[in-house]
Amino acid sequence: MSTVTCHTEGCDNNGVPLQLDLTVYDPDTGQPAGTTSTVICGPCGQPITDIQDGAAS
Amino acid sequence: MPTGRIQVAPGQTIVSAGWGNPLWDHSVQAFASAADRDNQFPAPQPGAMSFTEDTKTLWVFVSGAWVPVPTGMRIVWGSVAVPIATANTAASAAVTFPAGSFTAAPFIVAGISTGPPAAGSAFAWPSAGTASGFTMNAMRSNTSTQTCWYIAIGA
Repeated sequence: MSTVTCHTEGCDNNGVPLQLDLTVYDPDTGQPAGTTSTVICGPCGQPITDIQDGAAS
Repeated sequence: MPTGRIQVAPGQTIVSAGWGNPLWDHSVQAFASAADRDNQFPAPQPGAMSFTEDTKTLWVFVSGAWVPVPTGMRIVWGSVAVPIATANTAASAAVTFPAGSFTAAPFIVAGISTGPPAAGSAFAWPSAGTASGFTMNAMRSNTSTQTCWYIAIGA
């Protein structure tokens, strides 16, 4: 589990730490296959780069 | 123990010791987080309510614990761009919901916003959801940045 935080001015999620599971799964086996390298803020659509713990690469 | 209704006689002076704390305890106070609330409001009475700003959650104190107040069904929808760097290989992007949308991981349906290339395929599927967001996966038989839609339904 990772904590991601949007820092876009004016975004409703600005400064709010959110818990995300960045695990991705192999579509053939259903097994974990690493973590995603892209995190997007849903409300503002901007990339999130503040990723803590189990951070995406 | 619930303190119940505190009665006041006509003309009675309302002083802070007898009224301030009960009024505070019986109203909905806002706190930065659950930890902040537990620190400032360590002994709530049954039925006490609070609001935590970080998760936008309304709580009620029941049976010795703070429980989120059910807010009914919530629906969040949107789209997210998933860059597909390699044809026929799954790509992904995590996306967050507006803070406080859900108290538990919602049910998520998702799809791809444009059709597959000629004689090819394209599809999207959600995974690894939490109350705060989920991971969108997409695969396509050619490379592109694929817009994927989603609808999250929960409480």
